[in-house]
Amino acid sequence: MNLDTIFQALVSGILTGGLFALVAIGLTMILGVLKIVNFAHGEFLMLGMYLTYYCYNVLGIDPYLCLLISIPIFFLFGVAIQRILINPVLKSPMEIQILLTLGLFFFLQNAALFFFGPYLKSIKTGYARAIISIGSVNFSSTKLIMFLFSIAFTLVLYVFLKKSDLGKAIRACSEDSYGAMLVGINVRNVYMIAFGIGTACAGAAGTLLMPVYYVDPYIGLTFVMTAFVVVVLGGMGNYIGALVGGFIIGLTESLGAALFTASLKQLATFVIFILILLLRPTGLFGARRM
Amino acid sequence: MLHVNEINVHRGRVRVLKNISFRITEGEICSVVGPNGAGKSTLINSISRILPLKSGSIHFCGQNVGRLPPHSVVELGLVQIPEGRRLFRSLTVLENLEMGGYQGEGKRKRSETLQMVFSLFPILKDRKYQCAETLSGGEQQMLAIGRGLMCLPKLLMLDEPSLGLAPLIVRIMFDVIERLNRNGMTILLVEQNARKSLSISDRGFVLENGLITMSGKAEEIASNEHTKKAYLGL
Repeated sequence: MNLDTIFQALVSGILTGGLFALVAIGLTMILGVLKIVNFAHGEFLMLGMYLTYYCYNVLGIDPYLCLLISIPIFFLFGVAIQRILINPVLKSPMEIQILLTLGLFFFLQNAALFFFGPYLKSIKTGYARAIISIGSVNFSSTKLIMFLFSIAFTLVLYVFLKKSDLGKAIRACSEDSYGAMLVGINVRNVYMIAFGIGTACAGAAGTLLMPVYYVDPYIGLTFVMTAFVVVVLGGMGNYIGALVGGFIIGLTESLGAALFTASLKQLATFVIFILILLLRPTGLFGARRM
Repeated sequence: MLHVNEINVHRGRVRVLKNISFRITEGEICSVVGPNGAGKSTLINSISRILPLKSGSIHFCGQNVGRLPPHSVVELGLVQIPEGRRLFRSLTVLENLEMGGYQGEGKRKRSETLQMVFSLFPILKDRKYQCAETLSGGEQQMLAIGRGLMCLPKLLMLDEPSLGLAPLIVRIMFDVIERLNRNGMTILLVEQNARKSLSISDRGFVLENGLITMSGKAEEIASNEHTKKAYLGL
């Protein structure tokens, strides 16, 4: 174990952490605004990866250009899912909501298995082999692009929530949907938009991940579990918390893999998860604050 | 202005409002008096369209609002200041007020109305960048009323606006309600402080067990033997 390995792990942890943050922010928005625990969130990411894969291999569209396709498509997909599936159970007990999103998870996973097959798929872009070296630390250009885009999305989303009327209405609904109704906010629409944005975050993350990683129908589960840890770590419904939590978990995984063995990286993550639930169940930044 | 016609409202299996009918005319202050659990908040919430009507109809300014969603009713100028205020706690005072003027006419006139609210409650202007949850109880009630005013109400319904407030603040609240009324706003007031609310009202009615047991001029209700005993503590 030398210092270079540690530095390498730090850099790669931060780069991955950006992506975790993007996935988790989508999840935390759905949780914060609709109070829905969305187990199918990782499947949206998986579908985003397949969309990017086929756009590249069949249509020849550059994966980063594909963001322009995947973001609107997944926004609309999320709106439709909310309208058709989530809206009818919004007032139902939590177990019914969980069964619904869990069912959606299994459905999407098996649909992917049926349509796309069980095999690993990856894309080879020209720039995937471009390696950036700073001193002894090496990382691929695609990972850096993934990081930069993820952070950019997160910031755009943050400014949108802070400054725009619609963003404030989303926060208002997550605070008190009853109060929001009484001041004339169309809460149903806000719920649809929030779910659409959350889904678009996962879809965009899938697109950004595709040039870096492989895709198979089971990949969603790993990411949604990690995203849940991030959301709980940051405080449920807290956007800044999700960003910071994304980096913490990214670093934990890469340092865990560097210091122990790669198969133990998830262990470190879930040890943190259990510690937080025991010691600070509201998360690092408390619940539902911006 | 508001015409409630034979409405029945259920909560779960319980029939809370039983064939309630009344009218509110433009420019008046009308009080609803009655014990806890009589259905006063249920009444306001069914007018706001939060609770569905089992039967009956509600007309506001000639339009049937009985089937509209809550946000459309607000846009028409039928606005409720709810019991417990229901503020957006982690949003700033200014953001809370902006959410009041979220749609339609309220949005177009937002900056004007904001000035009006700040002149009515100067303390809110001083605190406009503070989170709503850091305000005192009285200030929060002012913010709740200010947020409601941002919706440009024609008829303002207040549910227990003096609940849990210090006597001095209660006086300010009632002064504000009277001032709004003098400027042409119609008010429907639900209050546990029956004496105070009847003293500023033109008319009132007593709601007991989901039924209107008495209605008439505010002075008549205040001087009635039964209401005196039951609600005015005389």
